[in-house]
Amino acid sequence: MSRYKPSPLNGFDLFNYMALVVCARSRDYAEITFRKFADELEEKYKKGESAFKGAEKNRVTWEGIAVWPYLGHTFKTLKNQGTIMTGSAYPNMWDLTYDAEDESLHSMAEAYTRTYINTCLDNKVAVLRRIMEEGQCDGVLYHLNRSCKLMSFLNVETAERIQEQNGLPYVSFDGDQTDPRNFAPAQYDTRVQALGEMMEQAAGGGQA
Amino acid sequence: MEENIKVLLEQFRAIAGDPRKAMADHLAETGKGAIGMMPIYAPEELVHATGFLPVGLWGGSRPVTKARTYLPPFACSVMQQVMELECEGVYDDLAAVVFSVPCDTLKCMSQKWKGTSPVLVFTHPQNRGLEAANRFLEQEYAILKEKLEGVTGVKITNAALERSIQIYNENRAAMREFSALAAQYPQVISAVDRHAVFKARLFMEKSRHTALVRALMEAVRAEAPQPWTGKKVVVTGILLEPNGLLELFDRLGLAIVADDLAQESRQIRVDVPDGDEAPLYRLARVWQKMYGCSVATDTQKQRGPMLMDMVRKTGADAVVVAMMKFCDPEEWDYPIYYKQFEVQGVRSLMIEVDQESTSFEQIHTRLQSLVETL
Repeated sequence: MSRYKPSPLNGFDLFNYMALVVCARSRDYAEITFRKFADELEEKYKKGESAFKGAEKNRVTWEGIAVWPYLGHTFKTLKNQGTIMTGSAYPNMWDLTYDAEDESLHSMAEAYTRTYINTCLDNKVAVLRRIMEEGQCDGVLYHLNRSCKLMSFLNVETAERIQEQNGLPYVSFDGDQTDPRNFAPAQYDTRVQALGEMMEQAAGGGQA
Repeated sequence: MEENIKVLLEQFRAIAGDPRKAMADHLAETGKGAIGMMPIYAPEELVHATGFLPVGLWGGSRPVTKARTYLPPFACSVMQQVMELECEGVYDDLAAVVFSVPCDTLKCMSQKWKGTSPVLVFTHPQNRGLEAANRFLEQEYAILKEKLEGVTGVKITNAALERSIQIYNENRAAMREFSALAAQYPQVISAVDRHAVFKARLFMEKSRHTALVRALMEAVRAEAPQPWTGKKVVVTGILLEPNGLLELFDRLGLAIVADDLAQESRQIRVDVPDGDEAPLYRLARVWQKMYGCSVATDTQKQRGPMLMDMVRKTGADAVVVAMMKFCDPEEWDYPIYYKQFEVQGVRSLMIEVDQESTSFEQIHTRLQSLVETL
């Protein structure tokens, strides 16, 4: 749904529903909820409604885990400047297809080896680029996560490679998936504003 | 102290302090270059069998500036140093760099090398208990062997590899003997010297290192051991550097009677087993046999009991935990063995190791307090 412009889907809603994917994946109510959510989005799209109700100015990819203790703040800062998140590789990590009948679990194991963060830099770059394209994103927001070195220590290289390929602006901010002490709202806000300015400038034909 | 011992220890210190000279000497003598060995575990025997000099890359003690661009402050101290040296081009004379990736930081570091040398990465299996793990690692080593042959232009024959395995097993045995001997002669072999003997090992062709260590042990044994009036400790962690930190041990009369440091005794803990199997398979078996290390999965959590056993055997008064700054695997082990120490009444003190440090007064005070309470 986030491939449409303006987007009927607010990417942060996927962060919201992740609790279900993570903790209640095999439950019927998880499936029911997701189907309902998808139907609603479909309906919205048909009616020509978008998540930001006409206020969508630009679109970003969010790279990394959400800053769970500040989910509201991280969302509202973006929303206030009309930036919608239409790409994130993180929720997709739970979107795996494998042969459930395979009792050796080989198919399941193989599926998990494809999770982008379990692979390599080349693949991480390829996955993110695809997400940016599909979400028609204008920039990337990289979460430097104090609690996940694996998802943070290649951010610089990922960002450099992607920018080389698509020329889109990016910023990085310090945060944490769990510990609220490692996130400073003011730093986040400044970085998001900078990204917004760069995206606007790029849209206006100026140099990003 | 006998003059000969002094001269030998000086030699170890000089080699430990100047890997670039070791590389130049090796090149002049053999016409062959050097290959960097990143922490923590790699089948160095494969590199040795090519005639190239394996050189351990365990950081340095520089102010970290350039590395900040590529690593956040919460990357461990040793990798900050390695990154700084990469950025400065210090490693660019290496023919290649061999990378094991047993922790998240190394997984990333292996994919962001800023120098010009080719990086040869291999993976240790996480679940080490299975026979499949040996076969997997054997295959990884076969790939690494091929890459090394490509880089060096030297075909690694089984005969050459068997010879290297023998040289390394002899060296490990000599080093275990040295560690035990150093515990009996703390007046002769200071903490700084003990470290220099281990560190020189990272930059020397191993048969030469063995010969030098044996010469040192012979000279030391010629003197009668003296009773030690200070205290004795076992140290554990990734590494215990820089020398300024080790000097505190000497100044406070704390003899290091055994170590469980990744840079030192963990490197010599397990020999390559004998047997009829192929050398690559036997090299792979070392990983399965490894124990007491934070990056080698151990569901039984035997590091604590191992350390307590070391304390008992050496008559140590305490364990000093040299906690590598921002090293997750080591930090995760700590609460487990700390609790085990508490239950058994084993004294311990944790100090933080930051290779960039130049001031050690705070650690001095803490070590001094430990000595006073022992």
